[in-house]
Amino acid sequence: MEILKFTKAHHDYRERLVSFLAKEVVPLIDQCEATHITPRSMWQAMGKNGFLCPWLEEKYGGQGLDFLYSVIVWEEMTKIHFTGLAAGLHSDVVVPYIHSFAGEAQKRAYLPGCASGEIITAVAMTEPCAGSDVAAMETTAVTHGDEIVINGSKTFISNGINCDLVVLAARNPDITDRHKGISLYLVEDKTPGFSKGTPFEKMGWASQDTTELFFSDCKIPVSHRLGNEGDGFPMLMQKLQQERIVCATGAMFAARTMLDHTLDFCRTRTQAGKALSKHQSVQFALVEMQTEVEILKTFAHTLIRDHMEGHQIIKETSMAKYKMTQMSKEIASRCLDIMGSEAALESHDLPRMFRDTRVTSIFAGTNEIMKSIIAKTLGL
Amino acid sequence: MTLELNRSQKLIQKAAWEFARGEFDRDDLLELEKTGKFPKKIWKKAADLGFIGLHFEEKFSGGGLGIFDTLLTAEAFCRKDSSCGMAIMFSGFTGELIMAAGTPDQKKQYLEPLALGKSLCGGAFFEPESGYELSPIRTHAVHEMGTWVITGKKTRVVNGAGADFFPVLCETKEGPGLILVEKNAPGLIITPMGRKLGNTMTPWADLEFDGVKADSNQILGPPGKGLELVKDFLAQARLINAGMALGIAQGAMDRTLSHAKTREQFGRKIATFQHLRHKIADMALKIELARGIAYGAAQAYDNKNKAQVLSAMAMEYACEAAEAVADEAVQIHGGYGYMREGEVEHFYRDAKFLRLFCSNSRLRKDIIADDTLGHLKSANIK
Repeated sequence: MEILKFTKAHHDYRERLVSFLAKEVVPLIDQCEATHITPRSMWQAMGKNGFLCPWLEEKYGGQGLDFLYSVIVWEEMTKIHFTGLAAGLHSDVVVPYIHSFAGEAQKRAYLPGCASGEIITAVAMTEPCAGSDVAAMETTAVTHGDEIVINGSKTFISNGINCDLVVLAARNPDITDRHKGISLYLVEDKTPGFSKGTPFEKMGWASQDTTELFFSDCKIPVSHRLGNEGDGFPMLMQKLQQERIVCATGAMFAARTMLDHTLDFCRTRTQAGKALSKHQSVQFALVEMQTEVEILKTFAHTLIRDHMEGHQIIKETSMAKYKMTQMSKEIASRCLDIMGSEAALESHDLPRMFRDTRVTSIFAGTNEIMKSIIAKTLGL
Repeated sequence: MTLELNRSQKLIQKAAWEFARGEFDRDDLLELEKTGKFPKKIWKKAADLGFIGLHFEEKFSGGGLGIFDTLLTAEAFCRKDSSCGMAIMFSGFTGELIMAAGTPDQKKQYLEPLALGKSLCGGAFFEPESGYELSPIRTHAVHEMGTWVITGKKTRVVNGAGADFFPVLCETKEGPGLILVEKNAPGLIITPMGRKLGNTMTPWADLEFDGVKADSNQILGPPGKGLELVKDFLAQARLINAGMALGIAQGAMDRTLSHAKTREQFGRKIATFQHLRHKIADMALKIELARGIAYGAAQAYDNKNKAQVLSAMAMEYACEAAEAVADEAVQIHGGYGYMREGEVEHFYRDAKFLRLFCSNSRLRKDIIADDTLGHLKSANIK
C-alpha cells in the first residue's frame, strides 16, 4: 500500500539528484561546515540541474513538476545530512510567498533566478524580542509616497549571508492591532540601508549561514509589498502548513538516516563475542525506533498526499512538526547511547546529525507553539 | 538538599564554587570549547590550590579526603562551565589506579605530579572497534631480560594527546597487567583524535605500541590483576562522572531560571506559563533525585562500600538527568539556546558525551542487573 505515487520519472529525478550530490556536494561538506557558508556556485549548480523549485511553472523558469519532486530533494539532502543548502527553505518555504503574493512584474523579475540559483532567498520574521511571539515584532515599514522606509532588525535568519532577496515581515507603526499592522515586503540585497551581520556560531547547521539582518532607513518601492497592506499575518499563516510539512518530513527522514547508520554499526561491532545487533537490549531499542519511524513515515506521506490535494490540515501538520522533530531528537540520542563513545567522535556521522536535528523542535515555531495551535484546533 | 553535607564538605563545595566563579571566564572558555584546547592556566591554578586529587594520598600532595569531596568539586566546576569542569576533573584521571596499586616510588614519580598539576595521565584501556570491552586484550606485553616489550593499539585514551605517561592494559603471560609507559618511549606513536561531540577540552588520542620498552618495575600492581584494577578504578571514576553530571544539570538549570525570569513573550515573563513552570519542576526533581543517589553512593564508597553497583547507578541516573535537564534548557532558551553564545548548547553536548564516557547505559545496566539478580549460572544472560 503506497500512499504516495512515485513514478519512473520521480525515480529518474531522484537518481540524478543522488549522483549530483555525491559528485558536487558531498566533497565540499567539511569545508562548508568549517567556514559556516555554502558557496553560491553550489546553489547555482543545484538550480542548473533542476533541483531548486522544481514545482515552479515553466513560464517562470521552472519545470512545473509536482510536490513530490520537492519531497525527493529534502529526502536525499537529509541522507547526506547536509544543512548548508537549505533547499527546502528556499524552494518550498520562501519562494512560494513570492509566487503566491507578488505582482506579475516581480514574479517575472525574481522567480527565474530563484529556480536557477542566481537568487538565494531568506524569510525574515524573528526578532530578538519576537521569537515564539511573532506578532510582537518591532521592525517598522512606513509608506512615503512611492517608497516604503524600513527600520529595525531581524535575527536567526537562515541563508542570511547568501541571500539576494528577503521576504521581510514588518509592521505599520500607526496601526495598534498587533496582527493587522503586519505586511510582507521584498528587499533586495545591496539596497541602501540593508546590511547583514556575521554568521552565528551554532550547535549545528554549521554549513548554514544564519545571521542578523539590519534595516536602517532602508527604502524600497511600494511595488515590493507582497499583497495588500496589513495582510502579512494571514499570509504567513497560510504558508505555514507547507513549512511544517517541510520541517516534519525532514526530521522524519533524518531519524531514518540516523537509524540506518546505527543498524550498520551494530551489525559490524561486537560485544562479548557477538554482534551488537544480536544483543537483546540493542535489538529491542532498534525495533522500537524503527517502529516509530515507520508509523510517522506513514503519517508524513498521508499529510503530503492531503496537502497535494489541497486540503487544510493545519492541525495535523502541527502535530507532525511537533512529533517528528521530537522523535528525531530522541532517536539521535538513543542511537548514540547504543553505539557509545566511538560514535561520539565528530569523524563519525552521528554527532553532526545529533547537533543538526536538535534545532528542528525549536525553529519554524517551537513545539510548545505547535501544541498551543493544536489545542486551539481541538477547541480547547 | 536530601543529604546534609558535613562542615568540611561544605567548605570544599564553597571553595570550589568560588574558584570556578573567579577563574572560569565565560568568553575564554567558549573559545577553548570551540577550538578544543585544554584549559591549561585554570588547571595550574586549580592544582596550586589543591583541587586536583582531593582524594589522593596526602603523602603524595593529594588532599587526603574522600571521593565525595572530589564529586562535590566536579559538581561545582561543571556547574560553572561543563566543558572546563570536565577537563579539569579529568586531569586527575587514573591517579586512583596508581593510588590503589602503585609502589611508593611509583606514587612519588607518577601520582604526585598529577596532584601538583605538573603532568597528565592517559588511561590506555580500550582497543579499536572493541567498544567498551576491556577484554580480550590484543595488546601484548612480553617480559624479556628485565624489560617489558609492548605491542598493540589503544584508542579513546583520555588526556592522550597531552599526557606524560600512560597506564596501559596489556595481556601478559600471567594475565592482564598494567604497565606504565612514558610518552617519549621509542616505538610509541601518539595520534590525537579529532573533535568529539562534547568534552572537547580534553584531548583524546590513539596509541600504537610497536615494540615499546618499559622497565620491569613499571608494572602497576601484580601481573594478572590488571582487569580488576581497571574495573575498580572505573567504578570510582563513575562517582566523579556523576558529580560532573550533577554540575552540568545544575549549570543548565541556573541559566534556564535566569532566562525564564527575564524573557518576555506574549506580554509576560515566560516563567509564568504553566507548561514552562512544570518543565522547571521536572528538572528540579531530576536534579534532586540525581543528587541524592550520587551523594549517597559517594558517601558509601568513602565508608568502604566499594560495590560497583552504587557507582553505576549514580552515574546512570545522574547522566540521564543531566541530558534531560540540558535538553530542556536548550528548548526553553529557544533559538538562543542553539547558539554557542547561549552556553547551554555545550552543556547539552557535554551531558550527552558524559553519558557515553567509559561505559554506556547498557553496560551500567548489566552491572546493576548482575548485582541485583545475583550470579546466575545460565549462559548468555547478556
